[in-house]
Amino acid sequence: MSTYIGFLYKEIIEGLRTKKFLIISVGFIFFALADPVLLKLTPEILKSQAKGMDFSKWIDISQKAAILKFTDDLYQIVSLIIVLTLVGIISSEIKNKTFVFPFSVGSKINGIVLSKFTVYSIFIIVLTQISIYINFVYSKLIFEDSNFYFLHVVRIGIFYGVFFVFLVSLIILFSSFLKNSIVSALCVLGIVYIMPILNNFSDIGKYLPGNVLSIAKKYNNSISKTDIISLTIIFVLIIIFNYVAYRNLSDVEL
Amino acid sequence: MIKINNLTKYYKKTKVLDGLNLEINDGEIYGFIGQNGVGKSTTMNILTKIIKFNSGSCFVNHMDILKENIKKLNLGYLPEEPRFYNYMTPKEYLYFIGKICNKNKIDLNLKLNELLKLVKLEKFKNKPIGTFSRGMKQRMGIAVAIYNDPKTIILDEPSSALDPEGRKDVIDIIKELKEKGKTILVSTHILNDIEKICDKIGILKGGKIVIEDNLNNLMKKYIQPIYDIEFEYSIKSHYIKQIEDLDFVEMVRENNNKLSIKINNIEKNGFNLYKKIIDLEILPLSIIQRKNSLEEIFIEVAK
Repeated sequence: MSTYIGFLYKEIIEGLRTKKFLIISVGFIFFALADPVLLKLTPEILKSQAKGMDFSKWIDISQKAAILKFTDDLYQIVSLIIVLTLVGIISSEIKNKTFVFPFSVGSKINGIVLSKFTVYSIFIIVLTQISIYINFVYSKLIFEDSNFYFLHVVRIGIFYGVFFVFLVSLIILFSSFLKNSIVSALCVLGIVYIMPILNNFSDIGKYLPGNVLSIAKKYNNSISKTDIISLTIIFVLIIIFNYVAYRNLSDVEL
Repeated sequence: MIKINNLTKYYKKTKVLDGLNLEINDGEIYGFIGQNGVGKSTTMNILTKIIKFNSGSCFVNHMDILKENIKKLNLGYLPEEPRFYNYMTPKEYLYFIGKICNKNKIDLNLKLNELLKLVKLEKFKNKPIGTFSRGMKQRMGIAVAIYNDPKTIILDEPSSALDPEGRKDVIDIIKELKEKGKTILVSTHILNDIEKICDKIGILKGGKIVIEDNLNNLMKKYIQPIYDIEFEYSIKSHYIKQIEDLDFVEMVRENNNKLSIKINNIEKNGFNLYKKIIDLEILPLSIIQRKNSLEEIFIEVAK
């Protein structure tokens, strides 16, 4: 427990001083604000390119479209920002030998893994909620057609939050056994971007972690049996990834 | 107390430690010397449980390191190149270490002030460690190594890459720790430092301790059979000839009013040399038996 508390303190300072919190926050907030504006301006931009054509009939220009556009960016771009920011979360500490002193005073590996997971998971969950509410409120101001229910936004926030927690655990896993951060980032991004493809092509896809993104976007408040299985699997995977990271680190010579 | 029995360590197929045996009693300072890559840091990393070993056994403070966790071993460690979180200040880093050691807030503050005073970093307690010089980082490392007031302390090259003043500071801290009764294993390339502080010295070669003794015994063992004798005036050549003709004298070298005389069987013939000089009635100002420095002993052993 003392290791966990010590490393919570360290991770928070690190997040602030190394600007990790700031970089990730900028990623979330930028798209939360930029997506509604860009969507609103899209017909005008296209109109100037092809005079006389009314693009507003072809493109959905609404609050709902703005929120869905934001969720797409969360998955495609913000995931990338998170991966690139956190990719050396463990490997850089091994490489830089910064674990030596904490270990020499009795740090426990499980406390280290868990504290890193806790800090970044909580931070990203909170940020997901905040950014989706910002996006919701801002798009409501911009678009006349503002009939998107707040509960749907909450739903999106929760499920995207779960997905990002899964992403953090995946980063921790790869960072625990791959010394090279670039390789580690490519592996994580490969898995993240391949998930929706699997989702489209096979039934198994419904049970893969990427399915929570589809669940999030469902325009109703019900959760099916498949959704529950999918969520259970994602939680089990989060636990397994953290445990495997702990086992990997236990075998590493610092 | 540290005891190592038949310690073996391989890095892939390379045998770094080959049946290393070592024993340090409570309150002793043990100087661990050897060439680069001979296994000093490996031994220290094994004792602090940072790396594993292939065979043998290690005991710290009478506890088997394989059976106890590092906290129970009551051990402090300063690695060769101490690495910190550079964005943290000494205050924050020691607070972080204190949290890991489960200290309460009062203890954290007391310890912080006490340690920063000891390592002379009070003025810099709010500056990022990343801006520190190597010497300051080394002192910060010592503060972390002794945070838990450990009974046994392992210091890997504590004074390397430091300026003379920094080295003196580190030596003074080690002396202070010795006065507190700590057991210390220290490795260094600066043999002059070891001569100043160590009770016992071990020279590591080929993965084993090849020589282990206290400094006085080592000096006696590796004493040079040479006398440097200084006279008031230059010595006349016929006197030098008479000394050279002695059957136990191997070599005489003259340098102004000084003679360097190498003899064989120093224990037996040292007295005979004195006698001859008195017989010649060329009374010397001083007679000094030349001593090997630890560095010379080390070079001879490490050959």
